[in-house]
Amino acid sequence: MNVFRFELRRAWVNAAVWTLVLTGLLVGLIAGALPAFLESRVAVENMLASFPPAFAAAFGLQLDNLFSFGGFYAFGFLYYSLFGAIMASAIGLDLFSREKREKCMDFLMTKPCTRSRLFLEKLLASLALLLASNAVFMTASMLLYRAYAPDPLLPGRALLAASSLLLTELVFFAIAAFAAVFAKKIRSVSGTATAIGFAGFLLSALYSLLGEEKLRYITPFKYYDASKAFFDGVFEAKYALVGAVLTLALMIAAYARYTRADIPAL
Amino acid sequence: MNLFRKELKSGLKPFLFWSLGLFMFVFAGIVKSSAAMADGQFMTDLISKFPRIVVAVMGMANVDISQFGGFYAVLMQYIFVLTAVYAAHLGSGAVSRESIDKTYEFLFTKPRSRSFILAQKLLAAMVFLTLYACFNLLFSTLAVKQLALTGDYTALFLRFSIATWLIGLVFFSLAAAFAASFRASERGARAGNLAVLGAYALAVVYDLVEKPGVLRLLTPFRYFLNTEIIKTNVHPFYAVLCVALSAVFFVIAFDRFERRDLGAV
Repeated sequence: MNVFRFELRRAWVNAAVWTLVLTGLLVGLIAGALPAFLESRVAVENMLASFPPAFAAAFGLQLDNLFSFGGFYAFGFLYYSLFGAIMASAIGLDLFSREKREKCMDFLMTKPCTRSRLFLEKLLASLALLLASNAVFMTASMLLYRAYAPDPLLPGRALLAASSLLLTELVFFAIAAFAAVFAKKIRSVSGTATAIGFAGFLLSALYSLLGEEKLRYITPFKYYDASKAFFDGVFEAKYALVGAVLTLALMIAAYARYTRADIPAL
Repeated sequence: MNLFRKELKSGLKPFLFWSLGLFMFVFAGIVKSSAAMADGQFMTDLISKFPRIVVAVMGMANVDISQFGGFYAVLMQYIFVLTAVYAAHLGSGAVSRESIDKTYEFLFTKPRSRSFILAQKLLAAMVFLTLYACFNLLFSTLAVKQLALTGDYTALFLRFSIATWLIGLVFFSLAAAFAASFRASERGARAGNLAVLGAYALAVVYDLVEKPGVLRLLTPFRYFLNTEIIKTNVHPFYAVLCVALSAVFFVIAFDRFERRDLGAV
């Protein structure tokens, strides 16, 4: 477990800082803006009263969802996903391209240890970081849910919604690990991670803007939809399936490549 | 000029890659825009009366999608972010690429001052940034031809492309200054990228609060508001501010780069 320990030691500070920022963002948004947001419902309702009743009724149904903890939580999810995606991509790129960047592949690969074992230990270290980070995020989510949501509470749904961050992060982690293993050279971990994270963010923005159904299949932020989880208690199966298959396929491809690739001469 | 040419050559592939992303985003966004604009007028009227925070939560802050111009402005908000990420990449790359590739001993023993070399590299990167903004104009003009719209949007596209360029310039120079200030290249790159992310987070806060006030000065993503660009022009004060900021950052970058220890990693 030397590789596992080494990777954890090298990567935990960054992951911890990201987790703090992410949780801070969550707490800041909910504690700072949720009360004001809920209060403004009155103003919106007053305004809607001047519209035809049929329209107000149709819109009123959405109001209940919009002006709730879940609605606001799902709004913030775009940004939590962005931060989480960058963090997960950074972990994947960092761990799986470390020897490539520091030009010490031969050092690691000549150890009496199979490549699959090295890969698995790196994978385990990454998963440990992601899970620990999400444990903090979920705990914070649940505490905030208790503090700010009115009765009746549905903790199962809140937990499912919070878990969509972990699932989204896993997709990005797999993309990053794949890129790290297949790329000839990784010049900057943070640069590539930021690019991957914002690419996901832009796709999600484009999807929200256009509402084009097909686009959602290539939009990782929308594979596991937090608002759907909150209000219906499920993820949409076909998109969740795409996400899961993509994650697994990329990891398997990365594994196959990592255990077989030639080590470049220095 | 050798260095300048070589920089252009080595930056071409990433540039084409980023341009492809820009192309897809702009093209898909514009060509499919008509569906999103249906009953936009009504929604815009309705939403303009909501409190700011509600509008932001509904994802409609800074938006007026009743007309094509408003819709395009929303697209451009995201193009700003895309450009900022690319610009940060260009800026830190120009400063620390030789350190990362461990070729600094080759280049910086040539009979040229460090400032000269850095200036050539930054200039080449600036060419890419400028081309990127031009491509935005080009792609937008081509994409809008696919729609049967009356009216000429070239001036609008031009104003947005200038705003894109100015925002890119700030992050480009900031990333260069960061990369020159940190000894480890990864730290410098990280600082540059975090600046983009932080500025974006501030932009979101700007949309959420009722009276943002001074917040606008802190995030380049809100220097050029959609409504201002559509109605009048790029805000002259903020345009000057962008140039001034980047001048300061460039001075820092050159100053630091002259004195720094050129080590690997």
